[in-house]
Amino acid sequence: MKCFICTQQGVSADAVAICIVCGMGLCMQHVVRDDLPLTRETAAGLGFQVHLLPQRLPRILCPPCHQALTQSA
Amino acid sequence: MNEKPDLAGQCLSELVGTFILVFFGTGAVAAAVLTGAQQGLWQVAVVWGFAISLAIYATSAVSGTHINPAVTVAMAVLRPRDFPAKRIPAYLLSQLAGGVLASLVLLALFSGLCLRFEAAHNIVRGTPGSQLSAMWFGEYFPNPALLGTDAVAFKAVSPANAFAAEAVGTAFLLFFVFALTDRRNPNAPSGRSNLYAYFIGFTVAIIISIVAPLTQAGLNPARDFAPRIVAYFAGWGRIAIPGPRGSEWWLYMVAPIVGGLVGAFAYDLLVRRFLPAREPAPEVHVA
Repeated sequence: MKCFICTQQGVSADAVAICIVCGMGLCMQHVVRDDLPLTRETAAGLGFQVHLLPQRLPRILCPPCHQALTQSA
Repeated sequence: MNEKPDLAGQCLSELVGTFILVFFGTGAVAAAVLTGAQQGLWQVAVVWGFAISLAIYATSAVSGTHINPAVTVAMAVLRPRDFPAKRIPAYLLSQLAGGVLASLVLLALFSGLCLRFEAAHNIVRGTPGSQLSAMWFGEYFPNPALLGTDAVAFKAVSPANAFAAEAVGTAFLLFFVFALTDRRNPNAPSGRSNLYAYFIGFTVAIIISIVAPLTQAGLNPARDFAPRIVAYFAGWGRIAIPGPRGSEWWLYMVAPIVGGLVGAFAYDLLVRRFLPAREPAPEVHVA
């Protein structure tokens, strides 16, 4: 598989990863790796307490998807 | 190790939650007693229930929302992994502070109406019988508004009777709290559906509608003792602490804690141990 963005720019580069959102093939130059915080809820009284887990969730994204997911409202 | 919200944040959350509970709950009692704004016990009970649901929605993510020492003690004894006992003093002080602050705000709001009510009913604050105007702070048994404040009324509900009523009411409360928030209970409306908070509110409302004629349904030492302190300094004195029969101040503290432990233990003993042994895999959410 070739990198989609490089191919659009007329360059041929092998893809090393796939965007988890849109499935785009990505070379090392265009891949975006992001770590997301994870939370878990536990019953700790009348309600559920939210804990931030120590490990984050790594995700591989293309630049447009990463931009869309991290844009502020 | 999970990164839990720090203790200061949890204490602030408990303070806010108890403030919400006491402000709306005892505020509803004040409106009912002093102005007749609420028509009957159920209306007051529903306000209590909604106040608790809203307090849970507002604060549970940080502290778990105890807003009741009976819940705090039961959690520490029966769910020590989720709530370690070393946090008990901080939670209890925060609940007390939230209750005192809410009671001070209510005193400021309703003091004029209270003076008018006392004048209309020939009540001298701090003398026997003035629990009729103090009952929107701490609780009394039997319910002064429904059964009066004389010796005949006192005979109708003995201290032992009141202790049992508070203990049984709080036992049911903790029984249902543990059931509604148990991830092993497949029928509990728990987790992200968030409906459990309404059902806990309904639980309180139905308990109040049964127990309140007997004892005003404290079910919560913080909800009783914090307003009682404010009433003591607002002129009710010994009618507030220790109370006209001398046992009110400790009875409303001890009975809910004993009853809460019994109710929570009863859930574990009678229901939980027959549920599938393993909790379903905990849901993890991307923040």
